[in-house]
Amino acid sequence: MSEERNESTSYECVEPALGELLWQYDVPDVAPELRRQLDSHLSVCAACRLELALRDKLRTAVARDELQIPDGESPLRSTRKSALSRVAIRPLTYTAMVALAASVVLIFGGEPRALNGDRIVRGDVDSPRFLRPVAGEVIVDATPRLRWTPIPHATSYHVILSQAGGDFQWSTETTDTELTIPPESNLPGGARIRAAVQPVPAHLAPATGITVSFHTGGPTDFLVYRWRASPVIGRLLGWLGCLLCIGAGGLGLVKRRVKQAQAEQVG
Amino acid sequence: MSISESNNTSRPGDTDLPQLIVACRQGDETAAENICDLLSNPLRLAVQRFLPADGDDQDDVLQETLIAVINYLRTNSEFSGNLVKFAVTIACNRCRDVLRYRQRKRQEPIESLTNWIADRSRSPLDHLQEQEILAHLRAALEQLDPNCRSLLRDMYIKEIPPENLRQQMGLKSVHGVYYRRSVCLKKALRILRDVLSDRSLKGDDLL
Repeated sequence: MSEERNESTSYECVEPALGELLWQYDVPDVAPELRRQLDSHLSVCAACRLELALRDKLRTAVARDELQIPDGESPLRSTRKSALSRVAIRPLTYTAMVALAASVVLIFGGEPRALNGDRIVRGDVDSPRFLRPVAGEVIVDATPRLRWTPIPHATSYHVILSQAGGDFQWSTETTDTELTIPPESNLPGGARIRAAVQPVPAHLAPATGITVSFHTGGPTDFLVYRWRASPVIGRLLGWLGCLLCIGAGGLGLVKRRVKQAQAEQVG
Repeated sequence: MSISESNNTSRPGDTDLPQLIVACRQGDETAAENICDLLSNPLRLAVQRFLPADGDDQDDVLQETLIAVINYLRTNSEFSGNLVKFAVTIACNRCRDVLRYRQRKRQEPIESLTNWIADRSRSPLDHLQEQEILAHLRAALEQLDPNCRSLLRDMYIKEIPPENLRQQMGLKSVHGVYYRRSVCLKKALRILRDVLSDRSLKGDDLL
């Protein structure tokens, strides 16, 4: 007795290329030659005989009322079903949008933050200091506005701008605590600029001086700066939003391809 | 036609098959015997995987398959497929029939493959009782997707003409309607096959 038994119990078509055309067997205008080939094929192919027998049995059983074909799902249920499949993606998308929106607000909303974050150095809080720009800020504007805290009893202020590692220098005097750099200053782009304010009289200046370093740059530099200077939660929400968007997009793509494959299978 | 093992030491190889097929079709008995020689070994290996070595079933299936193949070649103007695969598949299907038959009627002699071939009304559904077939068909239909059920209802219950169905479905030709019906029936057949396969076709049940 053979110890090996073929586990495959399904009938197989003896000539698959011809078996694939069996659907034409009872088509009214089938080509006579094809019909003859299919007849010959059916003489030896159990798999195709089974398919034809099934078709005939279905037809006769239905005609004799021995068999009912269950109703298909109602269009409403079909719509609900497809809506449900969309809903699975929507929470993901909505969450992604909310996360990204929150991230944008946290990163770009409000005043810019110094690149050293919100660390408070002893003595800094009440010391005279620059209010804008903040340390490490990237300024896109060619005529930025400087602002600093007023120094009691100062009659005026010397404002000096210089470029780190460069030749640019510019200064002016103002009685105000804020100043817009004029265009004729020719503030260089893509440069690290050091701004310093000296009160008049000079002895009113704090020991550490009133200085700030900032950068001039383009929109990309600005975006990178805002990202780096943003609170951690803002960046985390940004990453989360991006990941959820990618996930929702991927899921949608997979579902569309499955639907497409199913539609092609039915014809 | 007598089919016997050839004792020739120089046997035709697979590469000679196309010429042998042509010769066989023209009535050349030697070509037919050579084809049988070439097919014997793969057929025997295939049949041994299905049927027990004791008893006559293996030899019977082998012989019947060779006869069926030769007759098929002679009655058809051309054969362009893989003859070995063709023959092996016929043999395997026959083995499945034998197994199913033996499960129900262990001792009664099984109808010959030649008679089965000649009687076009025969099919694997013959192994099932009428009510079994209807029950399995019902189960298969319930598992079909709604689109398929809808199409079958339209064709078999509402008896909507294929041309009307073509227009409803937005197809270019009526052939598309028949093709989709065929796809749906294949789905039902796959479900039905699972049922037929579950009907204790393991060899141990026959011993």
